Amino acid sequence: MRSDEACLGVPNQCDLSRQLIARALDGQPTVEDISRVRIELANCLPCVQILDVEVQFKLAMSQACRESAPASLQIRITETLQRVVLDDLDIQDF
Amino acid sequence: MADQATFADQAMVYMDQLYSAARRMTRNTADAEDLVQETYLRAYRGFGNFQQGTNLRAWLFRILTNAFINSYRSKQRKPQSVDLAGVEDLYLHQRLGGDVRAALGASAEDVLMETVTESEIIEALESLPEEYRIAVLLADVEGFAYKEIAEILDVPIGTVMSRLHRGRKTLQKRLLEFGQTRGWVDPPDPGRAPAPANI
Repeated sequence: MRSDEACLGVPNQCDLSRQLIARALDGQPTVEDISRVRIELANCLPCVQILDVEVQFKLAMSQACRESAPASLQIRITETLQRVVLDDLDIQDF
Repeated sequence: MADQATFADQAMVYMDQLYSAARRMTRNTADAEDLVQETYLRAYRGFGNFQQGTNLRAWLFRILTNAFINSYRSKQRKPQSVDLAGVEDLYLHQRLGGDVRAALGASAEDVLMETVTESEIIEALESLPEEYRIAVLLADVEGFAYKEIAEILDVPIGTVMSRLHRGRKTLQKRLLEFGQTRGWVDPPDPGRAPAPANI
């Protein structure tokens, strides 16, 4: 963050900090990506705190919402696709 | 052009991710399974048009999302369109109990994230209005970039950012409410003005 920009220490008051935080949350950021943005936000402690909260939140969401598909579903879909493939072959033969 | 014979080899590895997303979209197991199966069938049929070398995962999620919005959801009660524009702009670190933080010597976010359970996080996500839920799901659970989400949902990137912001804030508010019921988080202070809501 440039020193001449007025962040006022109030979270999200400046466009730059907002953009930087959004950038840090884009996709699957690495630790290095986050660190780079933290450095850029270093002049605004509240902005750094918000960044940390948002990163933690994103991580918690990712961990909580992951599930494996049931084995029965994998079998069902595999069988369905095989059936469709065979049907397509029958149509071509015909 | 992609060869349909290679479809299963390339696409089946994404089943867990598609199923996780389908569970959060449909909010129940049976419908999620049907949605994933429909997604694979549609994807197989359209695989000849898939451009090899482009993002197969994003392509499959686009099919999943479209199947949910256009086909599956029509069987359900139409969700009310909810505008979260007025959601109070709360931040976790501003609202956590100071005594708890001091006692634990932990960061604010760690305190809350350790107290809420995974099922509470899922409950909070599933309670979001659909358009916000899908945006948060794609960004924070599946890790898609904003640009990819815009393509999956076929909306401008600004719309993605807006839905994400409001969805995340609403989720954080609900998680705070879970924390408040456990006494881990200070209740709202009516004397304090809300934080600016312009991000």
